[in-house]
Amino acid sequence: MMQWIFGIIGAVVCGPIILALGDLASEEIRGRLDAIPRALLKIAIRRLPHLRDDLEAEWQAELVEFLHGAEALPITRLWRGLKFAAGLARVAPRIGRALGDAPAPLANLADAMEQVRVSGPPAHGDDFVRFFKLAYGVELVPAGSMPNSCQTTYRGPTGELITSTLQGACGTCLWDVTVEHRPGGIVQDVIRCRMRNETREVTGLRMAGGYRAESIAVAAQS
Amino acid sequence: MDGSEVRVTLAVAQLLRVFLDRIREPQYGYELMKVTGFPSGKLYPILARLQAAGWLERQSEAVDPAVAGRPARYHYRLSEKGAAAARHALAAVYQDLAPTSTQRRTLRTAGGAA
Repeated sequence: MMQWIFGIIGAVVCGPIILALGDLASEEIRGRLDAIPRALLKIAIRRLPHLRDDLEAEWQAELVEFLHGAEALPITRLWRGLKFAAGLARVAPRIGRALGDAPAPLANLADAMEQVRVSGPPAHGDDFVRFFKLAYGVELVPAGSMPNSCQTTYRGPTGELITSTLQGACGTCLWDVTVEHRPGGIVQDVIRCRMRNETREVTGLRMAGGYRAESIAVAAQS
Repeated sequence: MDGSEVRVTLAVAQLLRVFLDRIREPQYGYELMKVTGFPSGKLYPILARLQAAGWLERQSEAVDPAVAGRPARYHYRLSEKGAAAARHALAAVYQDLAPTSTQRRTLRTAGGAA
């Protein structure tokens, strides 16, 4: 009998608490889900060849429509928001080009790398410095060199071929290079080069114009 | 970019048609996506091309985000040059898609009683 009474009291006391916790959790999850398309939209904006604050403002306003529109049910709005942001992320460079943005020196790293790379996998260290100088006309002061070795041939602006070899062993490598612009910093930008989960920072990039962060991933076979 | 450089594909023609049908109303991306059914990856490059060609004008909405409860949208509308060019382009598309005289005859002969 006592067990029943305690059970009923427990249910009366704990029930509302459990319900409230459930509500809080679902609200938290909803908030987190909304952040996913916003993050994807930020990637789209970073893929624009130039700083375009007006496009950023426009796309964010449109995303708000998807996330808070009248018909926005949680799963539907997440799906629509993701579709909207992913579509823009895919075509952002094309939009930038259509609007006549002159590519900034570091605007389209992946494209430039593909254009100048003639043979071999992309290299690192000294070669990377040379690549930047050739492709963008910028001086890069390396803070260190990568341990892997690979031979890469670049074609310079006047058509000359430059081959560079680094010491060490190089297998299949996945590159992930991020160029990060620090607002207000003219010569103190950071390039983070990650190779096989190793991150190196290269500082002292002198740039001839503004740029946004750009990420590339190049799969290369030695 | 000159207006003559706009390549009027079927998708561009569809979008121009929407702008011409609602020539007095400024359009924004979300609305255009709903009307045309185009995804963002298809709509925005077209808008950018038309804007670069001077066919579309783009303007920020004059609202106070704090009052409206949302950020200001960007509106698109056909420019004067764009409206004329759009009509011309659509007329050319319709002409290209119109059945030839032989096809018209065939259609008339094969058609049943109304």
